[in-house]
Amino acid sequence: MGELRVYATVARLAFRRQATYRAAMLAALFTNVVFGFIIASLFRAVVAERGSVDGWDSKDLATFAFATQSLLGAVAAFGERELGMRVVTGDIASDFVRPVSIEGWTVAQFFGKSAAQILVRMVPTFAAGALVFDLRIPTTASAAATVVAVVLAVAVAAAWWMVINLTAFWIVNPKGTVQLANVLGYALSGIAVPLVFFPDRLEHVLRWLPWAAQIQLPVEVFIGKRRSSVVLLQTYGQQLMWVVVLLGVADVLVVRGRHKLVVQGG
Amino acid sequence: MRVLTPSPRPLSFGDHLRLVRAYSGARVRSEMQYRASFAFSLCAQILATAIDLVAIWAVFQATTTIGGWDAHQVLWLYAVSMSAFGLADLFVSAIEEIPEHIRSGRFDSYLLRPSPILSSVIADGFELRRAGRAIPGLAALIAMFIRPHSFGVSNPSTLMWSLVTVMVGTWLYGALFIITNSVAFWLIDSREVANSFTYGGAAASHYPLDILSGWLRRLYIWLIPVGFVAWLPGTRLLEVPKPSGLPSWLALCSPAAALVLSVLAAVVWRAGIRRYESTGS
Repeated sequence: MGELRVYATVARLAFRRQATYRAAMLAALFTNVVFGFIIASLFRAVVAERGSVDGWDSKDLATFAFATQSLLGAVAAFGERELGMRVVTGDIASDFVRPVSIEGWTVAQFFGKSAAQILVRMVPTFAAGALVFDLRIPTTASAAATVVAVVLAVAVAAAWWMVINLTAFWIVNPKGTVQLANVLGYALSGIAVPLVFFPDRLEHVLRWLPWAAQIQLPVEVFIGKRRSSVVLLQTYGQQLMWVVVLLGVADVLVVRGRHKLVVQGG
Repeated sequence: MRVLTPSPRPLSFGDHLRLVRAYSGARVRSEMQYRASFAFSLCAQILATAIDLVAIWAVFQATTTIGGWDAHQVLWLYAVSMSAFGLADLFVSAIEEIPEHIRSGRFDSYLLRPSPILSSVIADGFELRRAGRAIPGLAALIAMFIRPHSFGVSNPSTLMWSLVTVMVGTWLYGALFIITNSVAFWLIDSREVANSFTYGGAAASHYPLDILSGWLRRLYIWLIPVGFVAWLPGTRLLEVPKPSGLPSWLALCSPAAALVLSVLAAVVWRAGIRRYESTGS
């Protein structure tokens, strides 16, 4: 129980710290809105010819465009480097001495930061889109289902970025790995184009990867594409699976990293 | 490295060029001290820019035309606009470091140098790794010369005019970088907003801007005129039906747009310099 209280405090402090970067978050919000407009316009032009793609009409796609932009900050789609920098600077050594786990600490911190991002960026981005485009406003049921899917998406993101950052034990500068992860995530998560645009076979594969679990799946829940309880549970299950798998990988990396770590000086 | 000795005569243009070469050369040599890091970020930049091709490909899995442009013509837009943006990014975007220079007080040192302030800031921040952003566009441009039909180009003169369009576009983006980043003289935390204009503009300009609704399209023609980089000249060069409600002579106005933007850049930059007060701590 005591450990959980520590994590709650870590999350609260991370929230407070993130909340002080108001100007940066507002600027990011502005960027999200601008890109939302461009991408939603693109989607409108795509369906102009046939009316829909795989059952997605222009309203679905416009909603998708703004919902993804609303979610970017929460899952740190453009990178998270804090843990990696602690490995690079050697600060990680003091994390190993703490009586709570590095994994729990990192996840709690990520949730705190995400909460601030959600508070500042999520609703305004979507609202700005709704002023100009005809967007699908979720029913109470799909809004509630979305809350769970977003929490799980943030958990997947926390575990995913932890794994990426832990590579810093072996690669001197995590900047490169984070950049690579950004690029792949951008193309394959649904940020650039919804996965339904891809040829069916590729789409099926992409749906099972950890990127879809962070963006495409929760946004589909929001739009109401995953309304039946079976599909909804399957979505949650898939997200949960990635949380478990990635946390497992992170565990292994933390143990191996600790054996590799050499602290100099004193 | 040649060192310039103080001389009683004012510096000539040749001297300025030598200084620019000395500044940027020093920066490139320092970059090359970390070869692996250089190679990695070069590749990452190439990949990040080329990934847009995946998006374009996916879009054309779902449809055959967007805004009246087919896949070949959109590929032309990509080649021209990403070359122009990439080159401007390589040669001018060092100006993005202005907020850092101002915050740290390092900007003062540029005021004391013998070369023009703008060129020292830009030359001093030159990084070869940024070439990564230009490479996919330039590769597409080369591919266009090998297989023009895949880019909707049907005659050699269009190829030549495409090159001119790239040059004008580079110029235009360069001016845009200077204007949007000069805002830092007034608002220190403006970099992200500046980015959303420059990078947002680049993201928009490899699609035909016909897809944008009225006010947003007007924004990208008249206010942040990235429409002049590839889309408007493209309507004429590739003989795509011109967008409704716009005069056809607009397709020829890219150089004029670049010129206007350059004058604006000069005005904003100078006003910023005049306003600059050093930071003290």
